[in-house]
Amino acid sequence: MCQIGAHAESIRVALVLSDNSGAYQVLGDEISGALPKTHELHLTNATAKLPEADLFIAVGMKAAEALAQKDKPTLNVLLPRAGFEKLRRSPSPNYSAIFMDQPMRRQLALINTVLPQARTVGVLYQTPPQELDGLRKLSGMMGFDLREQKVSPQHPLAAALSGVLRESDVLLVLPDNDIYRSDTIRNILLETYRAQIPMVGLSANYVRAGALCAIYSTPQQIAYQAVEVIEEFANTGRLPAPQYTKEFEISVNTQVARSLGVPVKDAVQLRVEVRRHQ
Amino acid sequence: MYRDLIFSRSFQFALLTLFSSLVYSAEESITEQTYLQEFPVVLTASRLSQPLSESPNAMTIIDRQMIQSSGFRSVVDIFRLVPGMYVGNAGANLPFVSLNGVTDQYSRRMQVLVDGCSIYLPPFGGVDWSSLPLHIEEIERIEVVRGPSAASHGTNSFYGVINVITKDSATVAPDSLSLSKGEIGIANISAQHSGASERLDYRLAYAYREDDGDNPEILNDSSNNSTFSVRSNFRVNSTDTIEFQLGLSAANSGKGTVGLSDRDPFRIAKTHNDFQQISWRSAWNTEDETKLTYYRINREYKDPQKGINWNSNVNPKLFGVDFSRGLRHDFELQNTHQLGHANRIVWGGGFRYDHAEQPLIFSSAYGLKQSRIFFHDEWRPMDVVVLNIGTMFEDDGAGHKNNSPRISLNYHIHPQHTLRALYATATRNPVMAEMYLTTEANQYWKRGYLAPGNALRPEKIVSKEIGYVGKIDRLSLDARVYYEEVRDIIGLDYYATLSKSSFKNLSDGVFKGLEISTHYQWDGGNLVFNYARQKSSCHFSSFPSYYSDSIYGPTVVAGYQKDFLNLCSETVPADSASLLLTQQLFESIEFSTGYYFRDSVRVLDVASQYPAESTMHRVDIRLAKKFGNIERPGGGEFAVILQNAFQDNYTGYGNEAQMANLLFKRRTYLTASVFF
Repeated sequence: MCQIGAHAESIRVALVLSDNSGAYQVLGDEISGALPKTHELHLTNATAKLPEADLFIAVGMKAAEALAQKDKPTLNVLLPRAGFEKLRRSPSPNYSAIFMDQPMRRQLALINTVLPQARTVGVLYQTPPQELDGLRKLSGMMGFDLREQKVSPQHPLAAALSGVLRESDVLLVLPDNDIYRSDTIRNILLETYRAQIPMVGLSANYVRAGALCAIYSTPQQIAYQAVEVIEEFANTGRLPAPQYTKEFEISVNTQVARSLGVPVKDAVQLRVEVRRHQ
Repeated sequence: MYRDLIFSRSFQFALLTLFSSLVYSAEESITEQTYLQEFPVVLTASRLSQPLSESPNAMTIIDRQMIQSSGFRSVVDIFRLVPGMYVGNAGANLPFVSLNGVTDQYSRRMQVLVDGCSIYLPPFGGVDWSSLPLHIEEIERIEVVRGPSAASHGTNSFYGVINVITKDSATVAPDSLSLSKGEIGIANISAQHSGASERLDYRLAYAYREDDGDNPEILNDSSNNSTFSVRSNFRVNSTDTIEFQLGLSAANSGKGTVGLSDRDPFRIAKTHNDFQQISWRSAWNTEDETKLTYYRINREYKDPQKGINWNSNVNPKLFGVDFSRGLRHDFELQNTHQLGHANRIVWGGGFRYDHAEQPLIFSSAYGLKQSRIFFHDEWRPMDVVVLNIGTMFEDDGAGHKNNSPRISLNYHIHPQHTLRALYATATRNPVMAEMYLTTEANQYWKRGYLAPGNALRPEKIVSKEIGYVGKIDRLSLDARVYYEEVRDIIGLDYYATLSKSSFKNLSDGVFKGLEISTHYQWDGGNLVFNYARQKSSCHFSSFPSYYSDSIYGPTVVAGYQKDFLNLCSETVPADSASLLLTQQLFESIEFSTGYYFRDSVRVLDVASQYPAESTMHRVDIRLAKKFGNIERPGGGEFAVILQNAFQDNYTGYGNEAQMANLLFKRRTYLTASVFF
């Protein structure tokens, strides 16, 4: 999966974690484990003073924000594309990222694979997400009919949700902190189940809660790709363009799938098919 | 004090956050936390139902929209939309439902569950539909299992199971108020209020309904019923939930027959029902769950002026207070596990305590302690095959131990087309009335009763069926043919002694039939169509007393021939059908019409000297004007409903000369509902 260049120059890499909690620590450990020992690795966090280094790896938004001002070669990981775009003022060669979110094409390919009958894809948002324009174009190209419902004080979540469920074959979750929260997910999932409409989530947590499936990348997959980028930087002195993850996982809630009458496919087989469709 | 404070705080919090699941604060930007956030397990294993194509039994699902379109205002009427199901009325305030034949007005051979509580109650079994603490507006969905299903639904899932699911307080619902007014004195009010916060949600419902009855010139069949219910969920943490339900009802139902004021005067009988249920669900992980449930149901009935002397020579007649009480405590543990990819297992057990008293017909109060264990495996040996294998063992506490296995094979010949083969058994334990009824002749009834006690054996059913479930584009189709043998049917041994009757395992029966159910949907409308053809036959498994007696034998033989053997085939309608069409006419106007057809039928306790219920061709029409978003704040509906629009004079259940002509008269009523 990752090709570690044998002739790479030795460089100093600083791994800056947003904080020392769960997800950052896990990804930090994965990167330091996968990074060839020829490189010098400093582990620090966003609030601490930054060490001297040739390349900074910012893990999470807080670390990315801390480094955004510094004008140093930085690879941002564990942040969504929207977050990265907000921090990046203008394209600069040595400011890059591996996004934690999945490209829309991949998400639609997942819907195509898991629900080949689905034609209308419903989405809910309060603030039009950055991905929306792309999604509109892409869904047309891939033969889907996109049904959007904007949530607002005049059009509350309950009404928007029932509107979208009435018109759609599947509910695709778009990142929105106001709509999908731990205190709203219950209503949303119960309503989707009542309408017998599957939900495609953003992470394995969504699937555990009751979404039909989700596509995401594991810390290990992100770490391998980060190490590839580090090696490339060590060899060329340049960071590649911001990119999505190459490798991904698919998680399916088989109980929900069966109850909704969706034929259950094996996760490995699904990955192969999504790769082919995307 | 401290507890009160906590309660009131969480309550205020719940009120504050009512429907404000969205806080319109400044937009929070998308970060990795958007992707990393944790959620509670919402769709736990026991919340997920099997799809029809994988279910072991044939099943009819009636959802909220169908209930709405039908225009029905009583719960039992909904079952007209189940193929083959009989809905009978001994007057407007005494409805009963049954599948298959050899039924009587107590229709003891079905399991009836409301949110998992079995409401088939001692001492008579059957369900007192008109006094239930359940209002039609509260119902989210009804699942009717057609065929024996003891392995999944417990004791008494004999001819089938009615599973009523009320609206979960966790789903989004605005507050609502609905009023109806119409002919024959129809007046309904129902109001619902709900609220939710992150950890607690609740729904309160109140309803009142009344009418003057259908046949005031024949009998007093007026009724009214007030119900109040509470449903609430409290989420302890992301995996554990405590659910709480409570219901109360107070019903008055008219009694009395015109012309029989000396022994059946006009009066009002009062029924009080209450139930409490608490359950704890714990999701082990996405696929495993444990559920522990306790519920208590209590029913008290009081007829103030029951005629207690039928002897025509006694004047003046005597009257007494007929009081009855049925009480049930039930405790159940249920586990759901996913074993590997191929097996989903449900197992558990429960205890039940039933208590009944009715001084006029039982010599003492009776209590039965029942226990049960059940096991069910949904096994997929191949992708296209689902095997449902399960059983229930039970001890009914009256000396009977039963095992009721079921096995079915569902074969997906195509993802949209499934064939099903089923072999299922179930047991019906004798109810207290059958075991313990003790009365003198001319007292409560004309005949006296002797108690057979534990000598009665449970009835057994073996059902074999072949079914098909399929979908072609927007048409779904469900069909089955079945062959059911029932052994040891408990019937009346009329001459247990010369003056008294008793219950006895008298007969075996065979029921066979064909059922077809289709649903077709198009933009702006849908059509539901059900058809059933049924046949039943009976023979004695053990002869009634005096059957071969040299003196009384010929009379007994002739009586059973005339009133039982000859009538058995009439206990099911040869053909029956229902059709429900819903069509959006304009943007906001919805038209629906139901057509209900049933061949003539005779409930078993309607003897040959009375006519059978005549053929029914009933048409109901509903026209609704919606405003705003229905079921959303500010939305609402105004509807006019016309039942039996063409005044088909089909007759109801009548086992007395005066009751042979009970009609369901045409009536119009209006309903207004608002959501806020």
